[in-house]
Parts: sequence; structure tokens; C-alpha cells
Amino acid sequence: MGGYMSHIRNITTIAFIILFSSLSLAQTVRYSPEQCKEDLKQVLSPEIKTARKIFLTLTGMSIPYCDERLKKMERLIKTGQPREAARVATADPLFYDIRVRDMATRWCHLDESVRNEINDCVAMVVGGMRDGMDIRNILTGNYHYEVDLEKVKVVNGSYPRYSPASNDHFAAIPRNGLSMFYTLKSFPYQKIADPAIEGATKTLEDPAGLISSRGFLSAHAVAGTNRRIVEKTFKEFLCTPIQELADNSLPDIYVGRDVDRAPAGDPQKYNVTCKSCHAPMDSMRGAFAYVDYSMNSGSIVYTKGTVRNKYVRTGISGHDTTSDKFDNLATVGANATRFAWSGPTSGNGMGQFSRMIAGSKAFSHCMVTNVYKTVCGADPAPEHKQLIDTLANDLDNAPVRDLRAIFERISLRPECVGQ
Amino acid sequence: MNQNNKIIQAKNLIFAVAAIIVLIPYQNCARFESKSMETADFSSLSNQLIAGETYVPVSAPRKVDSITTGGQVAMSLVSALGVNGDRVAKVVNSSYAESTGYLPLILLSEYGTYDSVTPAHLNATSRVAQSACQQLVGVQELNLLKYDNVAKKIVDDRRHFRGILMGTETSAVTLRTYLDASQNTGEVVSNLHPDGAYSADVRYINSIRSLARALWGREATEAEISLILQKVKALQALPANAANARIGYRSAIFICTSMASTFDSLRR
Repeated sequence: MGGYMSHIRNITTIAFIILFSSLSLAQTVRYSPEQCKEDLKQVLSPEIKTARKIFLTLTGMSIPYCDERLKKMERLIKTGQPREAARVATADPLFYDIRVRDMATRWCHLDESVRNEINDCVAMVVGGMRDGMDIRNILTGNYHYEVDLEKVKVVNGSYPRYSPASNDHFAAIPRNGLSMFYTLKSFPYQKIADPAIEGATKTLEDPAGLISSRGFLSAHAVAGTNRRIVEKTFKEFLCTPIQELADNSLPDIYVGRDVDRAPAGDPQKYNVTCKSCHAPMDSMRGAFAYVDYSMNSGSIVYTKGTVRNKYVRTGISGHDTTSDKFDNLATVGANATRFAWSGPTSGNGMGQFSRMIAGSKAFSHCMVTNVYKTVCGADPAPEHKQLIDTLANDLDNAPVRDLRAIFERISLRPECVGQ
Repeated sequence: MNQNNKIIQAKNLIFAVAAIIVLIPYQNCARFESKSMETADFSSLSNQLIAGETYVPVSAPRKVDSITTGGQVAMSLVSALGVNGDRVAKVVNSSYAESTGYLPLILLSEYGTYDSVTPAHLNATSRVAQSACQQLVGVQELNLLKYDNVAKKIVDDRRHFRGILMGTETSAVTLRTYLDASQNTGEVVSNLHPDGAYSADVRYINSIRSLARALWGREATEAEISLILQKVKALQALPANAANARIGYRSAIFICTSMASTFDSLRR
């Protein structure tokens, strides 16, 4: 009888342990607001109001004055440590789940709107920033993030598994009220679906950070001619729209056969208009010659050594793409100073192309501009050029280019939060 | 089936129009920053650099207010109000309208900026605010006001609506007797509630002040308190029939929703 009771006690103890660890685990996958009570007799100091403003700027979220985070920030501001105060906000899950996500969502979707779903591309930015990654890694890294299923099974036992052929795994994050800060887990290598075995995955042979993510390529490599990948890379990561990249003085040696040399029978139009954009853009689209996105399989397709059909055209004369070689022509004239390339400007494949982008000074400049836009809700004004230039230089000179330092500095600037 | 859909559509339309009519007058609340918003000088804060950072003089200070997606606004409201646990996901995922899509992805202003909010956005915003307040008042705070028979004391763990009877509290009669200073005065009554004995007006005023700090980040002005209290009193003056039951509950929902739908609560 005693043994039976002891057995029951053990089972009960184990059940309680499982229950409580499940409950505490549930708390670590979701954002949980502070439950403090406001002391209406307490006079609000200018420092705590400043703290709230900084927190709101960096996270986009209001929190009550009785919240311990604001009290800590107030103490730091009072003791002359405003950067440390801002760091309280950049260490908060809300910073990653709201501000960093918004910035990444603009990069990772065709319409550049924050109104889009989380995907693998967004998760790479949020996870990487959380883990203190050098920002260049978003273009040069060979990694991906997944939701840690061990953490979320207490919330949703049937949570969709990670797949390089579907976005369900990431779209389920907000629907289950999960925080990316708590649940994302880093994995080495980027994955694509293996066409040889149904449901299987394989490692992507030419990784290029966000540019070779499913999210980015599903937006820009689907159908078309892969020119949009080049166009959007310049737009999102070098802050240079195609109109500004355009250079009529460049030779058209790489312009593909599919570009009409006399649109509406007018060769002048090609020379004046079409060539300006196509000359620099087509000189780099070769980097993506082996890449495609299949709507049928929902996955990236990579065929090493075989140029995708979308590049193959016959008829009018023009450049034939025969490999994944690229030769950046945007290295002369106005473009030479604009981008300030610091490494090789020609090479093979997506990986070398994205390393070229990440190595330019324009990349740091664009990252700072993106932070400003995300935190301050608008593009920097022309009067803010010195601020952006200086922050970009400081980012370039930092031992680890951690973008969180730029978020913190901008959140303290009157150019963003007012006087 | 069609008949049911028509009824639902009609109800939605009535709600949408009513929400705009009720809430638009309160948009003047919290419209402008008052002196109570004074903060430390950001020019001096931004000059405090760490190793390797370069000084940049301040040029063209400005603040651009933005309002982005329903998801962000909903998250901010649950954060400020302190809605907790599974209720957070309920508010954030609450569907605004099947025809316009998934709430977290709906922009609540035309261009994402504070000055491009249209009446349609205001309606969507009031729905988000209503959802957050429903969770706060109707689920979270409702049962946190109790009479402890053993200790012979009132226990009040509410954050924003302390001492307000919402109609379903256990021993409501006992609570009403001891809470309302107009019915009971003296030391004994004061000792029953953690905040002491005080009138219904004071309870509502404290709720407004607490919400103003949480949602607006500043103290409510006398004019704002008076405007909101006026409407609460109008609700309380309604005839006591079944439809008007739970006046305290309705008043709390009204205070919360109207304050959460204002621009100061929404802008970033």
C-alpha cells in the first residue's frame, strides 16, 4: 500500500513538474506586458518622460510609467548614461518584434510595405540582430533561422514545421502570438527543396544571405528575367533606385537579347532611355543565371552550371548569358563615388555579388538611412546629411558593425524625436 | 442564410457609424502636447558618445508622427493597458472585417503618417481599441475587485478601474455599501478598501488619470477629465432597465475605448 501511494506521489510530482515547466515555457515564447499599478501620487520626472519617449521611439510600443524598464531608464538618464538607457530598449523583445521586423519586412517583400507576413528573410534579420551579428552578414552569411519547435509545442502542438517550399512556418508566428525574439533559433546553411526527392531538402550551393532567401527570391526571381533581383538589391541595400543607377555613358556589352534595340522603331529611344538602366543592371544579372523560383514547388530552384531558360533568347543581337559571371559596370563616373566599392566588382554567382554589395560604403550608408526611416517614420531630410554620413562612417569603423548602436544613437537625436 | 448575413452587415454598419459618431468628438482629447510632456534636453543627451563615435552637431530638429499597422497599434494598446497572457494574441488577431483582411496587416493611416488618418481608419482603430478594452475590462479586471469575508476587507487588484462596480462582482451589494462614500462615511468604511472611502466620481477620475498616463504618456488635463466624465454621467443617467444594466462596466469600456482611440494613444 505504501509503495502504491509512493508511486502515486511520484506521478503527481512529475505531472506538476511538467505542468509548471510548460507554463513557464509558454511565458518565454510570448510577449507579456507589465502588470504594474500606476501610482497617481507620484510626480512624473522629465527623465522618466524622456525614457518613455526613447522606449516608444525604439520599440513603437507604449508602456506604463510604473514599468520597471522605464524606471531603470530614468535612473540611467539621471546619472548621465542615456546610451545605456537606450540600450534597455534595444535589449527588449518589442524592439526586435516590432521595429527590426518592420525594417526587414520592407526589404523582403515586393511592395516594400510593413503590411506583409513574416518570412525566412525577415527572420534572418530579426534573429541576426538579436544575436549581435555584423550587419554585413545579412548579405554574406550562410545561415537561416527557424522557430524552435521545442519552445512552441506548449502553445501549439501542431505548429507547421520549417520547409524551404512554404512560408507557413513563419506566417504562424503572429497568428500564435509568438515573439520572434524568444523563439527564433539559428541554423547553419541555407536550404532549398531537393527536386530529386519529394519533401526532401538540400543545402543551397551559392548562398548570399537575404538575397538567396526564399522570401526575397519568391518576390523577385519569380518569372521575369532576374533583373528585378539586381534592381531591388540596389534599392533595398544601397538605397539606389534604378533611376539613379542609370548611366547613359556605359557600354551596352551586357544588355541581353530580349531588350529591343529600336522600341517602336526608334533606335534613339534605346540609346537614350533603355540602355541607361540596362547597361549597369544587365552587367550584374548574370550572377543569378542559375537561380529561379518555382511557383509550382514553392521553392528556390538552383541549377549549378545550367543557365535558366529565362535568360535564353534568340533573334536580335545582344549579350548571351552563358554562366553566372557578372561584371559590375557601375564603377565609373558618378557611380564610382556613390557606391565606393571596396572589393572585387566582378565575379561569379550570388554569393560574390552580395559580398560586393555588403563591402561598399553605400551599404553602411543605406543601413543607417533605413534605421532612420524605421525609427523616425520618414526619410532623412537634406539637412540631416551630415548626421547620416557620420553615423555611416562610425558604423564602417566599428570592430563589429552592430546596427543596434545606430538605432540607439538615432533615438537620442533631436532630428528624430524633436527638441 | 442571406437574411442572417444582411442582419450581420447591418449591425456592422450601425456599429461603424456609431463608433465614429461617438469617438470623433474625443479626438480633440490628447491632440496637443501639453507642458506635462516636457522631457530632458535631447541635444545634450545625443552628445554623450562612447568610444569610436563622432560628434555631430544638431541640425533641423523634427518629429514625424506615424501610425502604421493594426498589429502594431494593437500590440501597443495591450502593452500600455497591461492586457496579458493569451488575451494579447486575441486582441492582435481580432479580425476587423473579412473583406479588408487580417487586422495585423491593415494600415491604420493612408501613408503611415499621423496626418493621413481617414474616418475609415478611425473606425478600424476604434475596433482595435474596443477589442483591447474588452479584454482589459471585461475579462482581465472584472473579477479583481472582491470582498474577502475572512479578512472583512475589500481586495482590489485592478490596475485602471479600482473601486468601480461592474455589476457581476460577488457580493456586489456589500461592495457597493462599502465603496460608495456617499452611502457610508467614517473610519470603518475607509479601512475596508485599500484606497479608503471615496466617491464614484473620484474612482472614475482616477481611472481616467491612470489611463492617460498609460496611453498618452502624460497627465490628463482638467478639461479632458471633465469631458469624459460628462459622458460617463450621461451613461449613468440612463433608465435602469435590463438593457442599461452594468452601467459601471459600460462606463469603463467607454472610458477605455475613447481614450485608446485618440491620436496621442496611437501615434509613434
